[in-house]
Amino acid sequence: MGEVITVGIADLKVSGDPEAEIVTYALGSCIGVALWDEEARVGGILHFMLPDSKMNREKARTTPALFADTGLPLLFREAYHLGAEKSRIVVRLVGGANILNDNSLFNIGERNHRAATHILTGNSVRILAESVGGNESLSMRLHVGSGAVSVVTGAGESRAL
Amino acid sequence: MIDLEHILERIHEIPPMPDVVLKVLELAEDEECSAKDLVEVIKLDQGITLRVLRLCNSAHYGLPRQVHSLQDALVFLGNSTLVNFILTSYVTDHLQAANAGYGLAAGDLWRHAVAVALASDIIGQHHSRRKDTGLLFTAGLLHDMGKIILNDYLLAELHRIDEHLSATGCSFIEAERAVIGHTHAEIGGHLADHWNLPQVLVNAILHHHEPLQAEEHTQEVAVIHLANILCLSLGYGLGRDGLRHHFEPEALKLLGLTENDLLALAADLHSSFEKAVALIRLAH
Repeated sequence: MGEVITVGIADLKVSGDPEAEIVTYALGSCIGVALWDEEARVGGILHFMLPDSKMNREKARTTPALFADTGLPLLFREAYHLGAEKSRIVVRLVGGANILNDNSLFNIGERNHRAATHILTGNSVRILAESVGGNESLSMRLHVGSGAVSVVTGAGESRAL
Repeated sequence: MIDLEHILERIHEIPPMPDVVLKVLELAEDEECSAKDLVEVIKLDQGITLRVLRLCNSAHYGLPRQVHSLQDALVFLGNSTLVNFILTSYVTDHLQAANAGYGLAAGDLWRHAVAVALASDIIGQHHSRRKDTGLLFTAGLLHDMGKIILNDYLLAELHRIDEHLSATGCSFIEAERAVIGHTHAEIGGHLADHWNLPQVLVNAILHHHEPLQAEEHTQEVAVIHLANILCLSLGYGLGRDGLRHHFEPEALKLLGLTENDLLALAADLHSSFEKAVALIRLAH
């Protein structure tokens, strides 16, 4: 079994080690973006909290992985350094859950999902699969060598994505 | 349904809050309180004194000389950091264990409590521009203590809780009420009573999921409600309940905040949390 690389909240990690697994926990309304390039055998996960860096520009400078619009470009740049190429990259999205919602307020999960989708599709990046929405806390795991992504629910049930 | 008397017996098995911690809490709310008053109280507890000195002398601060006395520590840290540190140290022992009934691994409840404490402090500062937000920090830290008591009851009824959630789509706290007969907020309120905590803390703990039920201390209750919702959303110590909680928009209105104000504060919370956790670990 290879190294397990943990990605915290507002954090990102990439790896070119085919044995490695990259994991992030308790996504809630945050979104986990798993990136993978099959040919380069490079993978990475971004765990971002908020949709738009305009909300707090100072924090966006110090912690770009907090926001979708500053975290995603950084995730891709880090992957390019390891040999990944944009045309081959596929991504999977997990998280974006919402508080029980009677009034469409406080839907950060939905806004995060919209922001990620907008940026990725706007840059012609293929979203291979997603497990987004609902009220559950999800964790995700990416195997760098195979590109396999599994999603684990708060109750501990695991499924492939 | 579980008999409340049975649960209250469990609460009474929990040791009372140490006098030193209660006194520190009282002093923190007293505007006339001097650094000397705080030192006089804290020095009565060797364990706390040792932790405070260890914190100041840790590599994190990189001070050119050792801090040997509480007086120096207080000058260096400031009253509010010191008070928050003492309370966090105390509850850390209670909150570290896993609570399988709530799907919380070891350390998860503590992470959530510290995040909500910091978020309450940040929201309080933003809302009122007050510096004495120690009370909000404390309320945030203690808001979920009821989970420690209800955990075993919940563990025995997991199946029914899950069934009720699937059948009704209700919130987790409504499922607690329907299956167990009591909520962790209500039980936390009883624990706060048992600890002789001020009424504002009892109310903040008791109503943190249903802020409109509060008849007094409505602003403090609103702050803890928003801090809790924010931290759950952002994944600080999420358990089986996930995001199955109601958000009360009136809480925002009561404090004159918008949803975007709250989200902007979320970014501040992230860096405060990382720093606070590092400091607490240094001293333990």
